[in-house]
Amino acid sequence: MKSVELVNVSFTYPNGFKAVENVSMVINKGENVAIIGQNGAGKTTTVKMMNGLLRPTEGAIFINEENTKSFTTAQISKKVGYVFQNPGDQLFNKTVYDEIAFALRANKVGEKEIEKRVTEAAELCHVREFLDHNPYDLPFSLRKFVTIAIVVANNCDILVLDEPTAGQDLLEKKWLEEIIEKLNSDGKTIITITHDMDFVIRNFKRVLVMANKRLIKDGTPHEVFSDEETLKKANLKKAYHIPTCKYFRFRKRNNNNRRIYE
Amino acid sequence: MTLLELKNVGFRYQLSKEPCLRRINLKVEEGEFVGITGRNGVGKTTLCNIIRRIIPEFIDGELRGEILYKGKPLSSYSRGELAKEIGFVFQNPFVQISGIKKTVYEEIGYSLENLGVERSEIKRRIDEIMNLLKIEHLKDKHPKKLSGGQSQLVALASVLIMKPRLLLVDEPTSQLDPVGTEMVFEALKIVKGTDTTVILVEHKVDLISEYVNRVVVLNEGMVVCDGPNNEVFSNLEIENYGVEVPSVTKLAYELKSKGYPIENIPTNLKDAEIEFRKVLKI
Amino acid sequence: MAYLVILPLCILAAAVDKQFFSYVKKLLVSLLIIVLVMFFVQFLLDESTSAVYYDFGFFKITEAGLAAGLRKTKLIVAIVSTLILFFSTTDLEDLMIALQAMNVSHVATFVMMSTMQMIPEMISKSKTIMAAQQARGIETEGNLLLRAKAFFPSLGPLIISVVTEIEDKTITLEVRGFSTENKKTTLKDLSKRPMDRALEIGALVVFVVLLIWRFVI
Repeated sequence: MKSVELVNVSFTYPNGFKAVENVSMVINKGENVAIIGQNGAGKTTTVKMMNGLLRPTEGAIFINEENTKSFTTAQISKKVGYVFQNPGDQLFNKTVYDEIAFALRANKVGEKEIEKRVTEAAELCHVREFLDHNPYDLPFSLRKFVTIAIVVANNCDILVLDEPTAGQDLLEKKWLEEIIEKLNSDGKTIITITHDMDFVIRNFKRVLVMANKRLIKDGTPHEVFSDEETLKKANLKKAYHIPTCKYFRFRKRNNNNRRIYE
Repeated sequence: MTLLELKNVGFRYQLSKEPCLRRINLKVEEGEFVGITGRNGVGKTTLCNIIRRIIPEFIDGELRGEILYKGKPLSSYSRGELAKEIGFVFQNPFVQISGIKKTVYEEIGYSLENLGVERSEIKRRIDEIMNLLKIEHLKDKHPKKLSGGQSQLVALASVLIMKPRLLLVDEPTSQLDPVGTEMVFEALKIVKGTDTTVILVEHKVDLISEYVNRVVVLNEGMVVCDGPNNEVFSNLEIENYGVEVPSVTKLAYELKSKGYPIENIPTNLKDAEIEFRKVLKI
Repeated sequence: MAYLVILPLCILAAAVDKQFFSYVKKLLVSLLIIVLVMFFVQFLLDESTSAVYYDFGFFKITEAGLAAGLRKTKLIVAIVSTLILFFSTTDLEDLMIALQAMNVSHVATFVMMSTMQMIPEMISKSKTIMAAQQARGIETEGNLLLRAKAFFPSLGPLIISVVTEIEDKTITLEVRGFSTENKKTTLKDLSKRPMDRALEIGALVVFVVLLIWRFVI
C-alpha cells in the first residue's frame, strides 16, 4: 500500500513565494526514507503538506491512498505524526506523562490504555525515568525525545521527523537509530529530514534529494552521493565530502577516496 | 600568559540534587584555540556560563572553586570590564539579536553604543569587522530576516567588535544547516588568524579537529582528556565518553586493521591526505 | 475647539507625513465607537423638544443633544488624536534616543522598544504553536467550543517561549555591554536643528497664550 503519495504537488505561500514546485513521489508502507537538501529547498514545506499543516496549491496528496483534502489537519495528524524541530512549540504540561498523554486524553482514550501506551512510548524514547518530571527540567535534547514519544504514543502509521539529529550527541543519535529501527520493524513508515549525512548513510536505504523547490534525485545513498551533479545542484558537495569518503570506505574504492579529498 | 584559570570549579544548579560540574581544572594560555567537547548534559554550556560570569549573576546555584582571569579573581571585574574582555556567542542564532535595531549595520554597532564609544569610531569599527568577516553584503538587511548562519555571523561580529581578549563560542552550529555551519567555521578560521583566544564548544568533531590546537573532553562534571588535537582525537577511548573520533581517524584505523601500514593516525583532512596518499600509493 | 482645531491639525500633520489614510483609519478604529456611543447617550438624556433635527421615536437628535455630545467628547478626541499622531509619526528609535538624552534609563527605553517588537513576533509564534499542536491531533478548526479547548495548549508554550526568550535576551544584552556603567552613545545623530528649536519655542508660546486665554480672559 502507498503510505504517502504526492502527485504533481506545488505550494505557493499567500505572499506569492513558491516554495515547492511540481513534486511527485511515492512512499510505500513500511519504508524508511531520508529527505535531504539545503535549507530553503522546500523540504519542510513538502513534509508539512503530508500531514495537512499546509495544503497543496496545485496537485494532490494521498495518505494511505486517501486524498488529504477531505480531512482536517488534526484528523490527518492521527495517521501522520509530525515531530517538530523545536520541542518548545509543543510542550506545556506539568509532567512528561501528561504531555505524552495529552492528545490521547483529548481523543477520549481510556486511562488504562493511555498508561500502557505512554509507558511504552517513553521506554522506547529513553524518557521513561522522567515521566514525572517537568519537560522543561530536561535538557533540550531529551525534550526532543519527549516529542517523539508523543507521536509514538499516538500510534500513527506514518512518522515525519524534522531534523531529529540537530543538537544531539553520539549516544542520543544511537538512540534515534534504535527508535527508527524499532518503529520501522513494527511496520511504520518513517520520513526523516536531516542534515547529518553520516546518519543518513548509516540508516537509510532510500534518499530523496530536494533542491530549488524540486525533487532532483531519488535513490540509495550510494547512488545519491556518487552523483556529482546532484551533489552540486543541491549544494551538498562541499559539506559532505567527509562522510561521503567514509561511505566509500565500505566499498574500498581508493580512487574515489582520492577524488573526494581533492 | 595564562589568560584563564579554573581551579577545582564545581557547580550545582539551584533546583538540582546532583552537581553539574564537579571538579574542573583548566588553564588557558593567551592565543590558544581550545575545543571543548563531551556528551550533552555534561556541563559544557554551564562551564561557558561560569567563565562569562552569567553564573552566578543571572543563574542561581552553588558555585565552588576559583576562577582567575588574567591572574585576578573573575568576581573582581566590573560588568562593563567583563563585557569588553570576554565575548560570548551561543547556540540559538535567533535570540542573539538585540531586537531594537533595523539593520545589521546598526545591530553590530549596538555593543559599542553601550560601551560609550564615540560615533565615528563606532562607524570605523563596524566597517572593519564587516570587512574581516566578509559580511558587508548583509549591511542593510533586517536582523530578523537573516538565515541561521547569517545570524550567527552577525552575532559573532557584534561581539568581536568589542575586541575581547577571550571569545567563548558555545555550539554555534548545532541548529544550523551545513551551509550555515560552513559559514560559521569559515568565520572562526578568520578569528583564529587574529590574536583572540578562543574556547569553542562543539559536537561536530570533524570540524573542530580542523581548527583547534587543543582538545578538552568533559565527562561527568570533570575534565577527562586535555591535550593537543592529534593526541586526543586519535585516542579511540574518547568514545567511552560519548565523543566520536573524526571520520578520517576512523578511516585510518579501519585501513590499518585491514593491513595498510598507517604510521601516524591523522585527525584532520590535511594530515589524512598525506598519510593516505603515502599508504595507498597514489 | 478640539473638533475645530486639533483634529483637523492632526489630520493635516498626518497627511504631511504621508500617513493620511492609515492615520484616519487608526482614528476611526479607536474613536468612532466611543464617540458615537457618547453622542447616543446624550441624545437619550436630552429632553428638549425644540430644535429637533430628527425624531427616531425612542431618541431624538436635537441641537442641545449635539452640543452636549460635543462637549463630552472633545477631551477624549483631543487627547487620543494627538497621541495617535505622535506614535504614528515618531520613529520609535528616535524617541528612545531622545529619551536617553534626557537621562531616562536605558533599561526603560530598551524595554519599551523591545515590547513593541515582541507583539508581531508573538503573533507569528502563536501560529507556529497552533500548527504544532494540530500536528499532535489537537483539533483547532471548527466550532467555538473546539477552538476554545485548543486555546490552553497554545497559550502554555507561548508564555514559556516568551519567558525563555527573555532569559536568553538578558544574557545577550549582558554580553553586548548593556550593563556598563558609562554614558551610552548613539550611532544615529539626533541633534536638534534650528527648526526643532523654533518649534519648541513656538509650542511653548502657544501654550502660554492658551493658558492665559483660558483662565484670564
